[in-house]
Amino acid sequence: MTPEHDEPVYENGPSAPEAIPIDDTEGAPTDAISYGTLNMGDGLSQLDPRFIKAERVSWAIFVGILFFGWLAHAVTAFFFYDGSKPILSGYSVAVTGAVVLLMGILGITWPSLDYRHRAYRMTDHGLQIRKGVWWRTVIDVPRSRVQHTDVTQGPLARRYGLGKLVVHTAGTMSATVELEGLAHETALALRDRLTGADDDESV
Amino acid sequence: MNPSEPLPTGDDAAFIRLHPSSLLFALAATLRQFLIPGIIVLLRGGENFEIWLMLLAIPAFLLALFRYLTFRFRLAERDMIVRKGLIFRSERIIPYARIQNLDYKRNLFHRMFGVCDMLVQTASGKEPEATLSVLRLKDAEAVRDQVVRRKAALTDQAVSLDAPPVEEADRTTDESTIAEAAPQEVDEKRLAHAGIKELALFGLITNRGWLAVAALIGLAFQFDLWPDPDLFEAWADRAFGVSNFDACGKIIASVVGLFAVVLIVRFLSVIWAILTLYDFSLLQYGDELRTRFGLLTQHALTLPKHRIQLIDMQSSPTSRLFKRVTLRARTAGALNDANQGTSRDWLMPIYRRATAVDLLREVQPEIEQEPTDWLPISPRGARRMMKKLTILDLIIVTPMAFVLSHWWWFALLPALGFSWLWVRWSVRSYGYALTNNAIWFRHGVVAKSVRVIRYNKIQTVTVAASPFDRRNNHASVKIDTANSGLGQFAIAIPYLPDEDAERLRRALTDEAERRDFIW
Repeated sequence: MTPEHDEPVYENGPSAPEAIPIDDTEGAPTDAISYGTLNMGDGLSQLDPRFIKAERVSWAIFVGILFFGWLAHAVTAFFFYDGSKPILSGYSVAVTGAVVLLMGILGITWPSLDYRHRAYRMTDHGLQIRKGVWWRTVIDVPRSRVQHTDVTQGPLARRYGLGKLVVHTAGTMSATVELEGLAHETALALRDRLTGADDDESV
Repeated sequence: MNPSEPLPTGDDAAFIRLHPSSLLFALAATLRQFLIPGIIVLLRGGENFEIWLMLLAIPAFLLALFRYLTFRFRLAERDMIVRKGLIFRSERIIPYARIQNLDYKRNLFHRMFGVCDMLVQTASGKEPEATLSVLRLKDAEAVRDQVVRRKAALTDQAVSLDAPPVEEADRTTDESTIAEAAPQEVDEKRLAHAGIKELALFGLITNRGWLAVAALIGLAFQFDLWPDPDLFEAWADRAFGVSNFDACGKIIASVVGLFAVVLIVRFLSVIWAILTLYDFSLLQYGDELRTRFGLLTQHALTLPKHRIQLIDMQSSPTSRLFKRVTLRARTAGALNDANQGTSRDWLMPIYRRATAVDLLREVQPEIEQEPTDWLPISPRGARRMMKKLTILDLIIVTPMAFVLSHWWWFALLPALGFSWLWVRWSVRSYGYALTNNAIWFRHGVVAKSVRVIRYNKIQTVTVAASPFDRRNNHASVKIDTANSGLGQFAIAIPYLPDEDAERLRRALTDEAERRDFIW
């Protein structure tokens, strides 16, 4: 049961991905394994870097809404604070402001951190998806278990040319396995590869 | 339909209507829905509007009548076709290949008329795909045999692919050979049987008597029938000649009472087990397993062998005392409907532990022998579990100590001692083993389970590591199958050394990929 260890164990350090040698797209092996923009060696590919931008934009929208909420809070506090309601005191405005600021900082730093901890690998055996900054998961979907696949694109993703690959299996917890942050063409290519040949008999 | 006529099948088969007594059953079903509220209304002399509400039974009955009058089905070459409705006509086509289970159920009334309810279940879960209510028993059996034979003919090749890892060349599916494969005759073989003694034991072990008690309490609530406390004293007076208990007497009386209740509940449980599971048999019919049980309401359930996703061997402390286990097999279809305390995924509700694996191997030859060398989880897992339990103990004891009395700090000692024992047992209870065709996983301290999943039923394999896991170089491996249960992985092994987890993931993915999955 012990296959030889020709593949790196899922890294344990908090910011390990830098340690993995990153090849340029041109330099990557030309066999079908290396989809995606960057090849991280051993067939592992990183997502499209535009994913970081898209994530930051969606964070910005979220933080923007928070900011307007905070602004309303601050304005009300400024005009209506009469010492009776602690929620309108300067302290509470400062605290909520700090929370919004923290979210803003997180919105700038988190997407790139998150990006560095996401990778996937497409082989003849199937699809592997790795993700998680703190809580890490590696999920293997064997090729013969793929029931069908979708490629979807939200408005933001379309703006950045990204696509999400959704793989459906007959499983319970993993009935749908999602791989987001791919370049749209990559998602399409992966889909074609996953559902390419001999999966016509699994009923 | 004339009873002497054979059941028409094939593409030119005409639609079959349900048995005429369907009407009676439809009436009975409607009446039953209104029975309990009706009785309550009558007995308690309900408000006027409540009585008028009962008139709702009439349209409900008409609707049921209409439904049964327009219901018909036919067995075509490749699918079962069910047609309903007159104005809004719906025609459901259920390919034989998709049918997971064909069960039938008959209560006393069904048996008086020689008919049964038949449930057609597919992998879509929850609800039966179609309910044929009611059919003559003979016809139901004919339908079932027809479907099994046609399905076998259609999936012959698929089934043979299922067991061993196959070479690429063998995988191709040739449509024409499948269509031409002739339906073959198969024999029924009894694999296991539970007699009255075993069932009584099962009743004793599972203690379903509480179901009856719960029902009684529910009724008492409905009818406001709480017995007067004075009544007990009156009884006691008559029985023992004492009318006023002192403190000691009260304690003795309550202990005796409690004991009596426990005895009665166990007794009810035994009666329940014998009545509902009477003559429990596990039969083999070609590729299908069938279970049959029940004295008053008879059940006949099917489990296609190759559709079994996982096998479970469960035991409780009492069942281990008698060296018995419960054997379950979960198929992709039909979620477990726990009606009246029975379970549709039972292979055997009670079976001897010593020969259980032999029976399982008769059901699924590929699972081979029970492994002897189980691989452990990380010993450091014990420390992590102990940490968690210590925190839990402190959370419980600290407020007690501050609010009630400082003596509560002493409660920490036995609590921690017990936690330590629990952790030891629990770490030891975990084990997994990879055999040629299946992974075995055992765990559980009080309720123990040994689970077997064949590699070809594995859908995905996940390795997960939380920050705490990573600090200890741990990871957990989670295996997903079809119908593994709501919000659950089929197998989740915690606290594995991360190298073991990685090795396990690779091995499982490889084995899964080498085999084709068939529902």
